[in-house]
Amino acid sequence: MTPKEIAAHYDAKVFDSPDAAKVAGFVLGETLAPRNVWNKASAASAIVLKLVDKRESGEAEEIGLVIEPWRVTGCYKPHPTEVPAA
Amino acid sequence: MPEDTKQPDSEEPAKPDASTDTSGSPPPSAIPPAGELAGADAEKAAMVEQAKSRVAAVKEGLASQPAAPAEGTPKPPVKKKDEGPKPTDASSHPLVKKLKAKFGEAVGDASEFIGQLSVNVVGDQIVAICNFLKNDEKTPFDYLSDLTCVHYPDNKQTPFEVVYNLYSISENERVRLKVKTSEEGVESVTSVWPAANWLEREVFDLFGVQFKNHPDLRRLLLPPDWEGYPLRKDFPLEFVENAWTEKHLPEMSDVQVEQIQQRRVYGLEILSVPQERMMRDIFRGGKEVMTKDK
Repeated sequence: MTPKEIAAHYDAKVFDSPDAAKVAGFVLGETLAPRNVWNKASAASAIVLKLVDKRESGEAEEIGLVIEPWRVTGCYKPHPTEVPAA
Repeated sequence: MPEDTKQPDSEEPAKPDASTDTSGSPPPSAIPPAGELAGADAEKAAMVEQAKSRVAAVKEGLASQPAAPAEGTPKPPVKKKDEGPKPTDASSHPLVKKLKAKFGEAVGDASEFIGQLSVNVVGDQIVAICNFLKNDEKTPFDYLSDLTCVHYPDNKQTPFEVVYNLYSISENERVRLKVKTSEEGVESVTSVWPAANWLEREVFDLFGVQFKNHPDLRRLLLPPDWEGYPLRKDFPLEFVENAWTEKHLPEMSDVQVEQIQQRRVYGLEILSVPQERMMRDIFRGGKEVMTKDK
């Protein structure tokens, strides 16, 4: 499976750049810079599985992946109740 | 006087020789009689007629072919390849029947795929089932060919499936047992096949599945203080830094760290493979970021 397919399987949003994720209200998390496409899929899988746990525990409302040519970054939108007041 | 020593001005007329005649006319001995010549002409004419009829047939065939589709017309859909073999239900297999008769509910679904029999069994009964199969009179599965595991992260209750590949040397038969389990694991089968010792250690090392009553359950391939289980789906293939790497691997200098960061930025780590180098050029859109790289 490609990183996009993995994201679709786990109902995670896909962003092209970290800035796009930030604009959408997501908090950036773990980043992996894989060397080839197979490692990229593995990195996406590893990141998204941790994010799925975070979503199930209620810590995250939504999860997403920032997929760049040589880097995969996990991101999540914190649950509204857990967002610290500005 | 030998013939080859004759002088050219010799008065004796030279005999006509077919091998030396360059006039183009065949030697008298090579000319067939009149009847034979007529037969050759007829044969030649027949061959010409055959060739003409073949040409006419080819022309007709070309004329009957449909004209090439005009530009813009959609291409006909490509035929899908036939789907490959699918697993079939094997509940009527004699071995499965025998197991179900003996262990009842502990033996679950069975399937057969390209001649390979797989049986799902309950983890509590795995040692008893393995013992039974090993000591079976008809097909004694006396050889544990392999013991491995698969991680299914979507199955929250039982994310692991321990797989036992058994082989009967005397009967040349194979069977695969599958046990769904959690991290707590299953009973060790080292009492049935001592060969399971290292195989179960390997599964424990790479998947983190425990094997109860194992004589020496510790990591087999990775260092004892390694964190994580690399064959789980949530463990990336890429190099990861953890407590072990920080403690045991030499510390990189600032220059080395910077080099790695630069390589990652420009994708230069993959220069060893031409195809990947080509992909990098595509991603960079032909820009010459680092001219020295060439």
